[in-house]
Amino acid sequence: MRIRVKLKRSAEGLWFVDLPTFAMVPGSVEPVIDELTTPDGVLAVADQTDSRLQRLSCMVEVPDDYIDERTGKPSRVTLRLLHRGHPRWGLGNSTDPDIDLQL
Amino acid sequence: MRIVYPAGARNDLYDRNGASKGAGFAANAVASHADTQRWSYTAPASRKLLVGSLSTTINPQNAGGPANLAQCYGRLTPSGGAATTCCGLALTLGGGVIATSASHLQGMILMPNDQLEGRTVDLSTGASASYFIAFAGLEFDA
Repeated sequence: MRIRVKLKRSAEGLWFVDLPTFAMVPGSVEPVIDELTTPDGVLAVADQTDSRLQRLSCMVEVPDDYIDERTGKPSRVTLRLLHRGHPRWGLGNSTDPDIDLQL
Repeated sequence: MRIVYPAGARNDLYDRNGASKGAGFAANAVASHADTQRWSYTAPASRKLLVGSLSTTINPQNAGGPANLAQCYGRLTPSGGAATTCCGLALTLGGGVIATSASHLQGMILMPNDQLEGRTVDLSTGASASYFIAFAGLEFDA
């Protein structure tokens, strides 16, 4: 299933999607901001800490069983079950994936 | 000698609830960009993945601007372990350089909750390239 999710920046400077399994759709990064982004990502010469980059999102393909049919969003319960024991997604007390479809 | 397996045993991986898995990123005329995760696969807790292949390719399309590094690489993070680059290539883009580079990895098994990612980065100014990075494999019951 294809959904739009946040594109986030890690402490090491990587632009990433906070899901265990996904594939980014090429050319789907939004919004395109002059001198900051293109449809394929953040320009290397851009100020990576510019506050406007906090609104970035992209389309991704995710496994159908990630999606909660009631909400249309990835189910945190399902992620925990599928990846139980994983230090990021599989622990009951882990930080929930920051999945925001309202972009 | 007679070899006897326990009832119900499945010795072939593809007979253990096997499922084909794959992910890829292929894009043309990609401008210079910061380090970006293009796809990720994390083996479920009760499953493993036999990676048949992981391929990466960079084809420069516009060599304008000062030269700098471009990379297209696979990253492996064992569950609870430290991440490492398991397959990748680095290429100088820009400065008039036009060269294609490719790398290939075969025969790796992801254990439960291990993560495999595809990433690209191009630190040049004004250059562009096409990128291809993809994996395919067989997921089966652990």
